[in-house]
Amino acid sequence: MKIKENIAGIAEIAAAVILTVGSFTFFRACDSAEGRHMACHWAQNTITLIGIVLTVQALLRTVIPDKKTKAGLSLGIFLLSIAAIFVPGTVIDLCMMDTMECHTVFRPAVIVVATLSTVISGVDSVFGLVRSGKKE
Amino acid sequence: MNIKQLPFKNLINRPVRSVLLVLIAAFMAAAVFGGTVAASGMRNGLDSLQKRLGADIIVVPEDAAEKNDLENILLQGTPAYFYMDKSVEDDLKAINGVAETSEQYFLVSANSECCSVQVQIIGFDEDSDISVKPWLKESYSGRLGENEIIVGSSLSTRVGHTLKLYGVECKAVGKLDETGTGLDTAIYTTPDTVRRLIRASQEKGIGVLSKQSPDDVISSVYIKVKDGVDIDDVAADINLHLDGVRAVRTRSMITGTADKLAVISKSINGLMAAVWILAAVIMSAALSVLANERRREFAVLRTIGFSRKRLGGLILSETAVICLSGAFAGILLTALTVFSFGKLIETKTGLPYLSPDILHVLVYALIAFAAVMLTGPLASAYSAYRLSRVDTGRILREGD
Repeated sequence: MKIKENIAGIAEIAAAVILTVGSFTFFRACDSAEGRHMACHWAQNTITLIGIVLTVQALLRTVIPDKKTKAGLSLGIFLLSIAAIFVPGTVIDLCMMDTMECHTVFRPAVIVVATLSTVISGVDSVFGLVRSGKKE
Repeated sequence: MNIKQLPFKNLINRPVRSVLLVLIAAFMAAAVFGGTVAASGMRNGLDSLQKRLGADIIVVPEDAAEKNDLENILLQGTPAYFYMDKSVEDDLKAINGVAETSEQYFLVSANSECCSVQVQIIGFDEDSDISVKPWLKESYSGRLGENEIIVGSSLSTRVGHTLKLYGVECKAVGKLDETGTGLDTAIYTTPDTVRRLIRASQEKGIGVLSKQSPDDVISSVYIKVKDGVDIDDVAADINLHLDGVRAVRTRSMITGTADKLAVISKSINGLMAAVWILAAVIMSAALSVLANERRREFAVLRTIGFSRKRLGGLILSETAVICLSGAFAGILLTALTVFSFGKLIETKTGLPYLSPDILHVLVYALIAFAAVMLTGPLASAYSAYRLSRVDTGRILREGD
């Protein structure tokens, strides 16, 4: 595995792992109260799931040597990262007040990490597609 | 190879060096842009709070003033309630210099429908109101009916939706504009609805009033002073003649916040200048070291016909590309972070925070961009001058 060829892949893995682990640790949504889940709990679960899928995709993108497959996986990461941006607050409602943890920490953190992942995988997939086209 | 592509090729062929220089430029842009946007957001929040209060004096029960309850409601949005006798408003109207009065009723929800979070409920008199209706955002111009509410901008409840408060279904008919203060998380309704909710709370065993009837109490009175009358005199008059209440001048309440804001603004400016100077020094040093390392490269370029001017231009072009990429990345990343975490800044600092409008943001971005684009080439100007003066023969001989 050449490091130079996989710099983008490593960055994608890092972003995906941060999204996965962060979503239930350092930027998790609001805590459950009196055994009752808040509205944002389901958005958190969805982000964790998306993060796991992104991590697997990014790992495959780094390990698999075929350039076309790498480009395809990057494209998949790009699209799923865009989807992640819209999960908290748009696709799945968050809690009632903007001052709550899910609005002040969880949502902004997901937006920042998912946007970074989108930009990295977007550039990676464009370069990957151009490069794989040139070889033929 | 097209000679115009030389600066780009040089940068691409040295990825680590280029990325490090781009990162320094990004830091510089982030410091200027982030600092100005954050400071501007806090200034906007303070202005908004000043306008939002709308009154010259607020009269609250004495114990509420001592506990800073009103300040907490206004700035942090901490739900609280306190009551005083309704007759206070008539007494206030009789005070010399008082032009208008408007009473408000405070109540705290047990918990809202979606989650276990308390919400501040504020009852205001629609006829005499001076602080709520001017901030009405969505097209509502009628009068609030039975169990109809207006919601603050930070509540996710949409117009037309209902909220259950103490078991009473309340319909949202309007939404207020964002103020960047604790008032964004409150629910506004008529005094009648608040009284109905107080009764509903009593039925549920959550008694907010021990002995009095909801019809005999109010929480605060907003006062507008007659033109030409000294506001401090009126406040002092109220404090002297009315027992059990405290008149707070709205400006004095803002002074504490303004002082905190001044300290934070000063820290932001200091930090911004420190990061800026540090980044500029590191960039100059890095470019100087690199210039020394690249002496042979430039000597070769001189021997193949590069003029001194062209050589200087090549270095400046490389620096310009680095600064352009760095400034672009720094501004974008900072914008993404500062705007996303605006609410967190507000809740953590306890200060009103209102993000600047798009026009101001563009101006701040342009300033940061121009600052980086000026500093980078200036930092490399000396290196460019030194390299363009190299003694080609001596350097090439040194390498033999």
